[in-house]
Amino acid sequence: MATPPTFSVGATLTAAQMNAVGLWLVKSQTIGSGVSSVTVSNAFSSDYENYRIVVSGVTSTSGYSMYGSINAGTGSTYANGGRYISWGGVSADATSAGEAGYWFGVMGSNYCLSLDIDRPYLATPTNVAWSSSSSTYGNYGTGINSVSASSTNFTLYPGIGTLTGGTIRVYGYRN
Amino acid sequence: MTKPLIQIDDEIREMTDEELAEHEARIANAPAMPATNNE
Repeated sequence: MATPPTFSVGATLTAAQMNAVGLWLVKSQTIGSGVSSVTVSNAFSSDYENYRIVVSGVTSTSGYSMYGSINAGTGSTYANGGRYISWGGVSADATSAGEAGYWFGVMGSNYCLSLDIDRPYLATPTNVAWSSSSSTYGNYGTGINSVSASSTNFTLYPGIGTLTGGTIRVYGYRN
Repeated sequence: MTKPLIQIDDEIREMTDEELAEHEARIANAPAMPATNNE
C-alpha cells in the first residue's frame, strides 16, 4: 500500500494509514456579501489541539486591516506584532497590546490568510502565527489572547468597510 | 438607516442593537496598526 495521499482504486485503508493523515477539514464557510463580521461557530473542539485556518478570495476595502477574535474572554486581552509590505515598496513593523483582537494584516482585493492557532479549545492563552496577502499588501505576524479560557468559535472583521466573498476553511492538525 | 450585516455560519442578517454595540466597541478597540489608511 502506498503511503497516503497516494491511493489506488479499491484499496482498503487501515486504521494506521488513516491515523497517519495529518490534517483534517473541520469546517468550510463561504463569506457572504457586504458583511461587517463573520463568525464560524463550533470550529474548535477536543478533537484537535492545533488548527490551520485558511481564508481565500476575500474582497475588501484596500488599505484597511483584517482583525479576528475568539470567544474566550472579551476586552483588551490581545497583543500583536507583525509587519506589512506594500507592493509599492513601503514596509513597516507594527505592534500593539491591550487590544480587542488579533491583527491579520492590511487587506486589498483577493485577500488571503493562512493562520495557525495554538490550542484554542484549552483553557490557556491562545497564540497565533499567520501570513496574509492581497492585491496591494503582504503581511506576517503573531499574536496572543492572554485569557485562559476555552474557545469554540472565531470571528473575522475588517477595521472599516465590509467583506464580500471568499471562503474560510478550518483544518485540525491530528494530535 | 440599516444596520451592518453580521454573518454567523450561513446566517446573514442585520446586527441587533446589542451586537452593533459590541461590534462598534470591538472596532474602536481594534489594534491601531498599521496606519496605512488610518485604521
